[in-house]
Amino acid sequence: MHGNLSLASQAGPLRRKPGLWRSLYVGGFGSDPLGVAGASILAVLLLMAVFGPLLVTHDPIRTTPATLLPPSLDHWLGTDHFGRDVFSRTITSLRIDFIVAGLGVSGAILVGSLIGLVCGYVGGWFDDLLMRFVDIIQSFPLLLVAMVLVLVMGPSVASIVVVTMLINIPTYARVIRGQTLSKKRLEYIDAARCSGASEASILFRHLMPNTLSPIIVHGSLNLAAAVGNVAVLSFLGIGIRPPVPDLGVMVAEGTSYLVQGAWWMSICPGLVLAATIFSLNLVGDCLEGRLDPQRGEL
Amino acid sequence: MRVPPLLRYVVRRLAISCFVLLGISMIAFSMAYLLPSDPVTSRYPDVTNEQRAEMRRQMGLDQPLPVQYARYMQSVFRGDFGKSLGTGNNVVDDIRQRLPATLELATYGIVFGLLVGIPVGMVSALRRGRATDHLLRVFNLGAQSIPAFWLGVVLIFFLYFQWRLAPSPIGRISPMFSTPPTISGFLTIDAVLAGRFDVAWAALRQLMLPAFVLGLGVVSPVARITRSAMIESLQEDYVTFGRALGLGFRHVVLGDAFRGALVPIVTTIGFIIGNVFAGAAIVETVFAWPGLGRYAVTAITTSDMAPVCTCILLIASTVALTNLIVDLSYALIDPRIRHEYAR
Repeated sequence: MHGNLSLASQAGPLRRKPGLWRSLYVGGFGSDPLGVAGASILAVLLLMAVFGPLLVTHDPIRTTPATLLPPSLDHWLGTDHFGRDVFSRTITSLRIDFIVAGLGVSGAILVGSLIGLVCGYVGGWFDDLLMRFVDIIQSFPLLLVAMVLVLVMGPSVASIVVVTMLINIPTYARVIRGQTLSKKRLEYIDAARCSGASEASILFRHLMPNTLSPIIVHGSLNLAAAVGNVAVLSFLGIGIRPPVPDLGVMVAEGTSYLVQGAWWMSICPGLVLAATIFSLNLVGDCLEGRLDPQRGEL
Repeated sequence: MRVPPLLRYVVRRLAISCFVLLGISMIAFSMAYLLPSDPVTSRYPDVTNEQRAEMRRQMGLDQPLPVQYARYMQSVFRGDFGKSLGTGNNVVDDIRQRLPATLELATYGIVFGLLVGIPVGMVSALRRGRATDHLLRVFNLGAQSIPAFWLGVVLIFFLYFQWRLAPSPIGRISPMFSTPPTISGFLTIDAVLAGRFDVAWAALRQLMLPAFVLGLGVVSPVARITRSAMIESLQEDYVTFGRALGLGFRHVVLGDAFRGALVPIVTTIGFIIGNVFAGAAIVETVFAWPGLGRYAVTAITTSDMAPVCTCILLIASTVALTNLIVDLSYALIDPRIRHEYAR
């Protein structure tokens, strides 16, 4: 570890580390076809979610007598047991799932980073205590914990956002704490302190921006997991409740109609869900390779 | 008297584990306590308010949370984990009945995950940066991205409803077969021990799809950690030395380099076991598997306090204890760590 550090500082003037946005733009996607593929799929899905209300062909909630119709020109992905259009419901669900997972993960990033930053910087018993707590939390079956918490708060979209946030806080706390620990002893922090910067300014103006890149990597991987978890919760019947459409609910509803051969009810929304998670994972994995020098060099 | 460092480490690690278990029990109990349920109302729906208050007082439900927790822990140490409102049985009996099903499913799933994940990771490390590596990376990300519950539904639809290749997803074994006497709790093993090979084959067929879905979730983390650990250990001096000596691929890569990579791989097993339990909750629900995961999910959705608390307690303690065993096993795996303690 030590050897690496001294080598890196010797090579400093020759090999400048590219900045965060530059590496996202140039190094991040430009040279990695898989990253480009992931980002493209993600962009299409995001556009579909954003412009969802303009794209839907039918009312996603209103029931009609045209039940269990197979895919056709009128109903692109068929209709479900209440005669609702599966395509319109899938797009509406995607929108809801993106919002829920996005808000939850952003909240976790904000709170978790703050905890990690303070823990890493202050250290001492406070840090010890909090990290042991994080250890304990991480040995819990988080899916079951999430289910219990959603029930405690009452099943609603808001409680899923809060639960997604709560179960992801430990990850960010731990990652940012590690980053802070490794960076707080570097020279530029000493320099800032010598020039009379306050503790708060060191923490938020000098340390925080330098811990951002792992957050972006973890954020995209985490968003993938969060989208999956939101769907799992509603698949198990806890969380987003019908008639509000959700990808997990749609898959669950479809399982009862597989016997009748109505495959489109379960399989189509699930495919969109899998594509969403896959594209987020591709983007995250690609960024991880670019931003993490240990992997990027390989 | 000077305590040997290895012993000191073991004692210290055991002490920390006790605190972790205590913390786990507190959180598990508080969570079950918070569940929106009222044992009195659900057991005796038509009692007057005064009777209800009296019963709550008798059951100790009017006491503050710490007192209830202390009472709960007392009964836990006596081996009494309470009664399930849903099944009417003692939670311990319920779990004893369901645990083997989950253990069998999880064992097959984990074995499948390791058998695929470790070679995939090794090949990616050896073919680093080449087409094979990129291909396996996409495979890994794909395995990680497919939602288990959806994959289960898709497999059931095609392999059972459409092509009739798989048996119907109705649990561990079709009721047409009489179950063999319980020895290990694993249906496949018990059937073989009883000489009932038709039953063993039927049980294995029931197991295949759920174990595959569960195991697929294990493949990706295992492959990922194997790849990075192998890349690191392939660069170690002892590997270069082995190569310079002209030792064969099997000796250098499968022997030395893999052994050097084993510590990080073993470290993820605690994490994997936690994941598998969560995955079991989903897979068992999809495949109507009569195991612990489905029991826990049902208990949570019906706000059944005692089983919820026990299941969370059981799973979290298993993960914590696995991590303890993993930490203690390092010295066995890696001679460098053993020497560090011995010094």
